[in-house]
Amino acid sequence: MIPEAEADAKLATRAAGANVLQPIAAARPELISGSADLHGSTKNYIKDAGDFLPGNYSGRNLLFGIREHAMGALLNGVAYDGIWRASGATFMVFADYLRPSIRLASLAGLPVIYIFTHDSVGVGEDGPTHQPVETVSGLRVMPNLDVIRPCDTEETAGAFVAAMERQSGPTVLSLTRQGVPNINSASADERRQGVLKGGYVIKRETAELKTIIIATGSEVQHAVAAADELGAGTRVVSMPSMKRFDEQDDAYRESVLPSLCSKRIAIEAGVSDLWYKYVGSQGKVIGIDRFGISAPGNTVMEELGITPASVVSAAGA
Amino acid sequence: MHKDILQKAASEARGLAIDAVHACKSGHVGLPLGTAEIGAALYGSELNVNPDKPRWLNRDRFVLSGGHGSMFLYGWLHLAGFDLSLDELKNFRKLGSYTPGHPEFGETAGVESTTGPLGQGVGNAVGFAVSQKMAAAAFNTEEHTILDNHIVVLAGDGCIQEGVAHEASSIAGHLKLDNLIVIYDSNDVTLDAMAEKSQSEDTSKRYEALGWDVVTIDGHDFDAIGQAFSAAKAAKGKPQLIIAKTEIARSIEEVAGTSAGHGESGAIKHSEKARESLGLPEDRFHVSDDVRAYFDDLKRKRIENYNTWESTYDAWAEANPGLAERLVWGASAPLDAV
Repeated sequence: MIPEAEADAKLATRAAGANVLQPIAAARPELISGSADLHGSTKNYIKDAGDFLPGNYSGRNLLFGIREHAMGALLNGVAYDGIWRASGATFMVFADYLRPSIRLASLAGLPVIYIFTHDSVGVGEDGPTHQPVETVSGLRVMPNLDVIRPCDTEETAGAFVAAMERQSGPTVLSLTRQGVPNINSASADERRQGVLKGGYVIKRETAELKTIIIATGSEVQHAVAAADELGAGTRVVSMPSMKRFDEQDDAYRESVLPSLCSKRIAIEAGVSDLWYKYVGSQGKVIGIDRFGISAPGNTVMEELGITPASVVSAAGA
Repeated sequence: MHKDILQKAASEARGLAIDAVHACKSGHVGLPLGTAEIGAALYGSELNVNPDKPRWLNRDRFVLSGGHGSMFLYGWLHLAGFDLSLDELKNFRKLGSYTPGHPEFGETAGVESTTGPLGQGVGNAVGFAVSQKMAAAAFNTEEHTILDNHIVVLAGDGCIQEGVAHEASSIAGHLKLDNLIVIYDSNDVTLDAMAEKSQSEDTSKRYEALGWDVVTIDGHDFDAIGQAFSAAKAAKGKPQLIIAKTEIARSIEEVAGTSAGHGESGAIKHSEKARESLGLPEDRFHVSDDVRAYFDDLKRKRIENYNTWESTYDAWAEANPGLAERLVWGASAPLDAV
């Protein structure tokens, strides 16, 4: 249903999401898609589905205006009613504006889909007010909320399917503003299916396993680049959803993160805390434990050490 | 409305709230005691529901936004004949009961949404109203109207103060959601103090400015409640706010009308005197035979009404198999828990 991307395409995952949303919306007419005045940036407008307007209630795109909290509470009401599949969007950093409603959706087990874009300091010039650092992990700690941060076009396709299929609670799709390359060390199908398991080997070692690098979203490209430099004994694990990975059986988790390999590094453009449960006490985390900076996104990432060189350096130390 | 029997039902519903809170020594009696006449009017007359089919597609949806007043909901659901026994009321707030401290969706038949964090229920109700407007546009046909219900909310001063309720009310006014009726339990009291210490706005004017129809009534007067509700159901083009002036914790003389009436203490300290003033016998959790008989008869009428709707639905489904197939998804998922 969802066509594969060109292998050498470089696309923001929010733009990949827009491409994935259209065939899903065509196949599932019960899907409605709202945005808090950011459809142009969050890119979740359903083409040809019309707007839900005063007195003309046939459109499937909801224009919430700059009312994120009302959006959250309304989406819950739509989900309680059960006729339509509710989704809504804003920038990741504004998730906090509707967090009380996300909490209730999680508690009540409502299958609401949140499309939160601009999900890291990669936002760039708008600066620290608009650059989430604690937000994504802050959402991950909420019970029954699935937070999925895909790394490329294929993982984004898998993430949207995972969100649509989940009935027992809400899903956050954490998407980038900036372009990211496709990670072709795994097949398109492996990446799509990998999302459903939460974490999987996206680049396998070709010699005896020495080092594991774990990453999500826009940082998977850095993990892969570092692995190329570190040599054949390096494995890269993409971990788009901690919740889904944690729910896999022991054998699967052991196959992805063998306990004998304690040399582990995680990299994500956000607070480091949660990653220690995967890298262990011997491991290292390259994260951002401070607020961001106003500058072009690439510059901010480099300034804050979110680079392949940081991973290589951590592995060598 | 049958005012005499509804007044008696209101007294007994007050008794159920006092007894449940007295039994577990926690909870909130202020709301269920202050809005007992509103509850009697809604569950004892005005709401179009089928207690045997709590997820009926064309029911009126009732959201208790002030979820702390959960004994309002449990008491009236029990009396109206939903699947909630008197034993469940006796086990209010106990482990494993269907009567948790605040209403939880999926736990109790007839509970439409999980509420308690104030203002959220108002936002949920606007979402229900959006869902039903969209569904009416998608599924009603010129020959058959299968969806023409209303969304009814009971919200207190705390809900109306919260920002989320204002945001949601603002978009509801903009969208002209005339299937939405908010009853504002306006008792001029918040938890800490009289509401005047933190609130001096003209709520009526605020809602008029947001594009709502607003009417202010005596929330203990059945005639006024009935007239306001009928007018709200008939109104077109705007959401409806009924500001019902009430006395919090009415019937517990020592705390009625004050912030001391909000929580559990009135029911713990003064329950015997209050029950006596309500004309209730010594046995706790009392429901009289004539109140039972009234609600049994009402339930039969409600089921007849449902059956009439169902024949319309069947004719619609036969004439529009494609639409019916689409609607099944919504009616069956994801909410089979209740």
